[in-house]
Amino acid sequence: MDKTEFIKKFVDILQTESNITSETKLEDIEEWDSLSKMGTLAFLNKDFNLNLTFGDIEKFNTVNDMMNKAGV
Amino acid sequence: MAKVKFNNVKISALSAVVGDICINIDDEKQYYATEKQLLRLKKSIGFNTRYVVNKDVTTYDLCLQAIKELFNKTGLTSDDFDAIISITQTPDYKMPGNAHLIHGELGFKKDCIAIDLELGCSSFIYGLFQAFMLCEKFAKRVLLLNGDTLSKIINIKNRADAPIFGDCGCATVIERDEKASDSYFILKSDGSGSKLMYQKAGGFRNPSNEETKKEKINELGNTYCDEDFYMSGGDVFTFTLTEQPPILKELLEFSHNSIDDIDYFIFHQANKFIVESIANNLNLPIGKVPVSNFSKYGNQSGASIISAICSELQNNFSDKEVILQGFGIGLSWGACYLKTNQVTVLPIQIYKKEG
Repeated sequence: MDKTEFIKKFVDILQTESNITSETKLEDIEEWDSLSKMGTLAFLNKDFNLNLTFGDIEKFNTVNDMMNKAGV
Repeated sequence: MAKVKFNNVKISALSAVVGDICINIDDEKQYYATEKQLLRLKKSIGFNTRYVVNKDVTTYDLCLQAIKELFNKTGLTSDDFDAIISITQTPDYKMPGNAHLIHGELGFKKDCIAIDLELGCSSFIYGLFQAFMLCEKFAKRVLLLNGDTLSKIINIKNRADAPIFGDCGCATVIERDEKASDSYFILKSDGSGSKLMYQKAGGFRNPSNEETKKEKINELGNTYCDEDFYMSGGDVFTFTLTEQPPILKELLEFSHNSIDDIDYFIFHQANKFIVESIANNLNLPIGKVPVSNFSKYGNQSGASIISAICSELQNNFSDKEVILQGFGIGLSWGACYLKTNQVTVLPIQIYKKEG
């Protein structure tokens, strides 16, 4: 998965119409709520074979942080 | 390890009764900031309708009606049972438990033992496990009761939990049958998570008083008091995603099955998002995973698997290879593989007040 695909998946999880880039701060996304965090947790753990917790997801600041963790 | 194979025991009948008050999420728009937010929750979590009880109706009432309907349909009577197991977190009294109340109400014989247990969303699997053990040792037939009325211990203004839970009481018959296929169970517990879901006050550690009844508002704007049911949603989701896929894989291996061999994977119907997340993690075929029970009735705690069978697989539950899997408070979780045969499945019933 490359960065473009990652962001596309992330936008699907958020169900947002906002423009999301790797620099986007998560706290600035209106839809970045517990539902999105859970969806992101499920996505990262499955597609990148990680064992993150909900607490780990809450510690990310930007989309880039997530991509780094996923090795994208 | 609680990894057990049973021979000669089967489920023979299932009955589920839901609360008689139907709440539609569209009638609760006032609790949501925007229409868009509510739409998103409806789409992802599956919010739609849920059935709850009135103040004067209890889990006991729901289970009693489930038993009566089941007796009517099957012709069984109280004399046909050697044990009753009730599992609920919302009993009529702190003591004695509902199994004993039902035993008295329906005149079960003295040789039929009553057992009261306390568990939530895993209670059907744990109850089946107990019932199968009793059948293997002495009982010809066991009546298992699962149910909860969690709507009574959640403030309607607590939007994290109130729109999730529905009320339901069920009755299941488990019996010895020499021709029954082998069944496989795996159960697990993790008490280190005991406070991820709990009711802080109202027991003997923090007895009920004015302070524990006082309404408070948490950082997310949800109203609650210390006597209400509490759930740490994010942590519970982590638990679900961490522990549910592995136990299912372990069960497939233990029962010598592959995903293709199984007709239905029936998970605790926590909500649409959670069931789909587990199914997606395991790459289960969508058609094999019932998921719409939550949108009709809400999360019915330990009754949800039975409700899903009664509402979605009513005429399609016999001669099937199924995996049932429950997970929740405790933390506690378990799964079983069953090959069903001649199961009487009653359609979902809505509670009717007697008289």
